[in-house]
Amino acid sequence: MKLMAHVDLIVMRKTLVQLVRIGLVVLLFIVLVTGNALSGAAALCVMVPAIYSMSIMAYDEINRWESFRLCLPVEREDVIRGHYASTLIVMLVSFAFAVVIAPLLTWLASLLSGSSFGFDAVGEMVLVCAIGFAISFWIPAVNLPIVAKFGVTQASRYVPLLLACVMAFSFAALGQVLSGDGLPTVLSFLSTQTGVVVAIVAAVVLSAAVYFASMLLALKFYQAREF
Amino acid sequence: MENLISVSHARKSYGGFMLDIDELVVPRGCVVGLVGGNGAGKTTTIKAIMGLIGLDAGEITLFGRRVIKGSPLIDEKRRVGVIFDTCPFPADLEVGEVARMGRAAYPNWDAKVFEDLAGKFGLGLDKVVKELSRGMGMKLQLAFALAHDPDLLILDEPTAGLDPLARAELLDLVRERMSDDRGVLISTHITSDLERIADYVTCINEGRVVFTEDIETVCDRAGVLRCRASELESVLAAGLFEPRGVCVVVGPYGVEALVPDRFALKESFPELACERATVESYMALTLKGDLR
Repeated sequence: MKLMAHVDLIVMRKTLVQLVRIGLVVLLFIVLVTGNALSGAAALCVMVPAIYSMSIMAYDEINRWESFRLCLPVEREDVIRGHYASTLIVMLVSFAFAVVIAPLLTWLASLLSGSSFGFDAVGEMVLVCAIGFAISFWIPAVNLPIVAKFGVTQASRYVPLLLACVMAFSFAALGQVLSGDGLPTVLSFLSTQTGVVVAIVAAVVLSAAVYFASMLLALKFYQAREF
Repeated sequence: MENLISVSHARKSYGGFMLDIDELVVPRGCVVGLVGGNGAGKTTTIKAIMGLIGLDAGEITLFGRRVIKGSPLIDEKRRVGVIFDTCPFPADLEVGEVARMGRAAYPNWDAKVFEDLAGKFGLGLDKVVKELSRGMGMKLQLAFALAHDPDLLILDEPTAGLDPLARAELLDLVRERMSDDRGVLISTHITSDLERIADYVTCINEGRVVFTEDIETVCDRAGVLRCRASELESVLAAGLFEPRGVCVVVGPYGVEALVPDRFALKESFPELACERATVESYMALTLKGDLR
């Protein structure tokens, strides 16, 4: 697994640098428009791992790289575990990067525009990025098993888009539910600082569990795949 | 002596294709060439040997160990170098990064061998894979395959698209490193490559082995006889060859026949022109000819 995660990161080094550059531009744009780095930082946490996980599978199918790699002394399980491990590394680094870079960009934007942008509180920034971190598990968790089974097909390319739509609608629906009268206890708990932290930690733990379950499924699919 | 590769009664059916290899072996110390038309099953055979696809029936062993789809075969794969028909390394990698991957993958990776070969081929470590020509890409694969000193090389169309000099260089390198313990399985459309390096030639057509012969039988003993139909009838009537031992193709101006022993023919029919067969003519006449 370590070998394959290492190989993935070598393969994706240049793509990752490009992704970070694009992410920074997007983040700066969001900061300039909204005057706030929170949503941009969360977007950075989601965008980079999502694109990374899709790209690493796409690379696999170019010039029979996938078949060649299986001729190296590695197990099929190592390839899949390597994809999940390297994606997790990218998630963690994106999270840390967003937490560090967002306040800096906020400050830079205030210098560029001459307006007074306030630094977001670091705690708030960490929590928002943690939400992004939790969400970042989902696209690879859904996409990687599908690609492990079928390869990068035309249909599999639409899965992340579909998932993004489902997530957006789910959040909207959840907002409707929570804004109603139905869950006053939950709402009052979530409105406390402890409640927010607990909810976010629970979201991260749940998302990580889904990610792990997804890996087990992908391992099964990949083991049976023919190249 | 243990074979490096042994394929026995291997069956695999795809949509409209059936691979049905009764026997294919790569003995130690030998270069075995795999020839056949497009879609004959050469690459599928190699995939099966490397465990990339599973068999419906039969058995394949690699260094004596059974290959099952998805089985790790870590120790065996460490002893194998593979070259594909196109450079498989991701396009954005630099040659130095390819070497880093090799170092991570193979415990016996020899960085000096890789760097020497890369230098010999004009592959700077900072060159990017996508900027390499086809020939340079194949040389990169060769350097990668040889840097861990494999006992077995599996080459799938390694010389396709290479210029004659590059082809000769690649084949010489493969031949140079042969020893009694090592072996090579090379699949190719360029049959003259096999005349240069192969000890045995196996022809596959429509998923089946049509013949396996040693290279002397194909390129030295066998001959291509071009003559009139009546002359061929005289040859066949003389009983020089086994019944159904001559492949015959009838053309508009005469017949072309693959005879198993051109020296025997020459002795009995010195007036007939019978030239040495090549792997290409042997294969073409075997596949297209009628047995007489």
